[in-house]
This record gives sequence, C-alpha cells and structure tokens, in this order.
Amino acid sequence: MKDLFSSSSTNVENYLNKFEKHLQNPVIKSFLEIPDNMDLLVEVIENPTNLSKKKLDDTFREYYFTIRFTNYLSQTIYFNAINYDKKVNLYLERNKSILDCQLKDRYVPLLDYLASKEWQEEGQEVYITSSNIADHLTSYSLYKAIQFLTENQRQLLNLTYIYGLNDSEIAVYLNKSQQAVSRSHKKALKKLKNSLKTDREGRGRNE
Amino acid sequence: MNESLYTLVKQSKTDNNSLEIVIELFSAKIDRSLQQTKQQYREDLSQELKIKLLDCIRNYEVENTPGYFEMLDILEEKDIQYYQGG
Repeated sequence: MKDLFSSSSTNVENYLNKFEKHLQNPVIKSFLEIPDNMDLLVEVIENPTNLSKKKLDDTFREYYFTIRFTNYLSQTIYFNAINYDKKVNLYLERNKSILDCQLKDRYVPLLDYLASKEWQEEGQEVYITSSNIADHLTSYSLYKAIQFLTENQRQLLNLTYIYGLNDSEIAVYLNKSQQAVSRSHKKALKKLKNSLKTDREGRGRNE
Repeated sequence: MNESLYTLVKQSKTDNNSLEIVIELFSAKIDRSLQQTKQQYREDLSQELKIKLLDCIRNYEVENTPGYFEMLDILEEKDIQYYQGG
C-alpha cells in the first residue's frame, strides 16, 4: 500500500507504518483500496480538521454498514428459510395426508390433480346455487327417482341437504312436529332407494 | 438506485417506501432460498421471509455501526485483550 503513495509525504508513510497491523483488517483494507477513500484518509493525515475527520468517519461508517447489514440480512434469510422447511416437515410428519403427496409423473399434489380432473370432466361450476335438490344431482336414475316424490318430500330434502338444517329446525320452519318431519324424511329416502333398485333391475333385464 | 443502503435503512424506520425498496433489494436472495423448499410452500416461505426482513430492517440499530476511528479503537482493544489473554 505504501508503494501506491510514494508521492505522498512522510506523514502519511508514518501513519501507515504505525497502523499497519490494523490496516490489514479485511474491512479497513478493502475500504482503503477504493482510491476516493484513501484520498480522504490522506486528507485527514495531512490536514486533520474536524470536517475532514468527520467525512472519513461517515464514509467508513456507511461502507462498513453496507457490508454488515447485507451480511446480516443474508444470514437471516438463509437460516429462516431452513427453519421454515424444518417446521413444515415436522408438521407434515405429524399430520400425514395422502392427498397432499406429490404425484410421481405430475407436478401437482394428488388433491389438486383430483380437483382439476373432476371439474374438467363434469364441465360445470363448482358451486351450484339452485335451491332445488334435483339440480344438484349427478346421477340420472336418482334424478328420475326424485320426480316421484311429493312436493313436500322434495322440499324436505332441499332443506336438509342444501341448507343443512336438521329435523327439528325444519319442523319449526314448516310448522310441523319433529317426529312428522323425521318420518317423512325417512319415507322419502326409502322411496328413492326403492326407485333406484327397480331402475337398476330394469336396466339389468334390458342388457 | 440513487439512495445508498445506509440512508434507505435509516429512513425505513419511518418511511414505508424505503422499507419496500430495501426488501426489494434482497428479493434475489429470497428467491434463491426458495429453491430449497417444495413448490407448494414457496409462496408462503417468501412471505414469511419478507415479514422477517421487515422486522430486522426496522429494528436494526444503524447508529451502532462504528466509524473509522471507532473501528481503530475496537481493533486496538481486541489486540490488547488478545495479548492479555495470551
């Protein structure tokens, strides 16, 4: 470093000799390798005013800060990313789910794949807003069977399976007794079951 | 970038725009560390890291960084400790 400043006065040389040990510190060394910064130091040595000292001090602080801070944040990111992974793995270990597993030949988890495929084939909206239970069915036989129910029974099924009410809530809503609702609910399901059965048998005979 | 990291971090304590710029500066590093985690968690991790950075940047004591002469003092002290210890 001394060779670089052969033109400078003995003051500078003395200074560099005196602090040679510290000038080997990586941060100070790299700081002074920038010519502008070296000029600041020379200025301080030649003309040690408060202003020149402060300038050197501030420039160095900014320089050192950038290194320290960048390093600090990089380490933070690195270790937090690792910790996050550990946390996720621990959670998955404790909450095993087959739907979450990565498919071998695809890039999505099983769950996403199933979801996307289902709707592709059905070609319909995910949410059906109709309050009529017949609109929610995907089976044609069941759709036919439901046409044989009475209007009351259909309304009951709407309330139970679309709005998620239980028998006693429906009883209040329809102004009937809970037992009556329960009975006609059971009767409706039985009727559907029978219709499906005869439908299946009928198809069996045809084939 | 016109402002130095030093000024930006200093301003981040009160100014959200500066904070955003600082986080943006480190986005490359964040993106790189996303590579190590599974695809479906990358977005979450990215968010977590940004929250963490937000904390770090806001709470960093910028003024604690030593200036040039302070640094020499620190090195001098270390040397003394080293010789005394040895």
